[in-house]
Amino acid sequence: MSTNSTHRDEDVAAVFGRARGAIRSTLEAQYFVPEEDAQEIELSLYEWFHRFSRRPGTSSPVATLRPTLFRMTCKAAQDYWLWKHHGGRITDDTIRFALNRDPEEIAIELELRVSRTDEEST
Amino acid sequence: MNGAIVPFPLRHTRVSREDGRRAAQRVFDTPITERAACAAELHLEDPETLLNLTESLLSRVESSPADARDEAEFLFGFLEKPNRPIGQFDEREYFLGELALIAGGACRFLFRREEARRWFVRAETYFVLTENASANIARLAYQKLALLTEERQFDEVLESAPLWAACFKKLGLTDMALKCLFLEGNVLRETGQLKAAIAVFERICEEAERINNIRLLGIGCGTLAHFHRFAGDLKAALACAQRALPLLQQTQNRVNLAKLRWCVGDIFREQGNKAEALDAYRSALREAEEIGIRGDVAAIHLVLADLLLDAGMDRQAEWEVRAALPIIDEEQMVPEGYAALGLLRESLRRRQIDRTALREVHGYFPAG
Repeated sequence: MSTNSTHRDEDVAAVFGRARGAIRSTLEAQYFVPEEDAQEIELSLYEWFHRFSRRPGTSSPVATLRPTLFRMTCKAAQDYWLWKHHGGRITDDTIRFALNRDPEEIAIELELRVSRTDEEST
Repeated sequence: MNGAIVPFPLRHTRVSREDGRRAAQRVFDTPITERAACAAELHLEDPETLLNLTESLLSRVESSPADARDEAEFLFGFLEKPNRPIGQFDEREYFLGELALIAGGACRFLFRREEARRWFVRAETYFVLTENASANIARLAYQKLALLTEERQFDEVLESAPLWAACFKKLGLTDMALKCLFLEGNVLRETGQLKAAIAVFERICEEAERINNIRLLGIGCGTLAHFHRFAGDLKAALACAQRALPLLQQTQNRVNLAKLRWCVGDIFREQGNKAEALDAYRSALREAEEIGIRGDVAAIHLVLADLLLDAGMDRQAEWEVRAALPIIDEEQMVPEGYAALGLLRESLRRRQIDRTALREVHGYFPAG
């Protein structure tokens, strides 16, 4: 493996590591995904993000891809509930409220929160 | 909506990055006709394998476009029907979009413009469903712009290329922004603004050197060699060609290597060195034939015919024209040069090549 791709892998791991807390709390606290399933989704998001960062057109620093990771987190949670309910109507109001929110909007909030934490820690 | 089509439970990757690279090589080593039958063994549905395959195919578009098109076409067909669940989240759409983009880009090099257009439509329908869709669609827009350049829609290219370049810069895709500048430079040369075109390509070479992009530097120097030749500065042309040659070899850019050898042939010819010119044209022809760029093959045959007529080798010239004509017919090239083509064919029948018609037909091909 080349030095460049090793560095990129390390960056991916670091960016994901810093975003992990926000991802888990979004899945569990905002979308009410059970812990075990949230863990599975988180693992999938890591694998996906790893490959996503290697696509042509994503050559920018990995940190700039974080909003996309958050957006995908929200979409994954939405897909999860659709799957859980076999695509049918979701009756739980709290879940319905979370699913009605625009993933883009939640992703922006998450990005702001994590970048603020990053700034405070430096 | 039926829950069965929602991609849960999640499919975790069984293949590591290194294994993915090896798996991709095994796929390439297996004949296309045998792949579907041993898809599981080849990890053909694994996103890591597919990512390595698309990475490798992207670099093959310019080194062997015919191969790249065949491979991308097979993989696209394999992933598209039946509707296979591939990877996670948007990965199926991404791979289908990327493979269609590769196939379309390769078709463009192969002079198959209608086919290229169809692939670009497919790419767009999948790319809109991906994350980072704006960057993917911008990459697609570049290919469409390049196709417009080849179709001589110069006004449209001159208007759109700077806009896309600015867009690529905003997206952080500096090499793509530079590629838009390539199109602008090429159009300037095609519209007779050679001095401005040379200035654009000098800027491209400086920028490519600054960002250490050997691939673009090689293409930039090769193009400058052509432009200096058109401007009559054979010394500068040869110097640029000498600079471009190792860079294009290093990056295995065989499409541009064929064009560069063709250009070197032109330089020698203009210096009055017919033997060296003949050698350079023949090696350009071999390269173009090997990688299947039939438009260039036909054009080089015609150039060779012209040179052989100069050298008084009329019968050999006749063979070169005879080799070019079926390709021109099959690929439906030079529709605008129909009359000249008719005159050339008629002169061939009389076994007395019409030099004016020959040059006119050749004039309808993009310059090497």
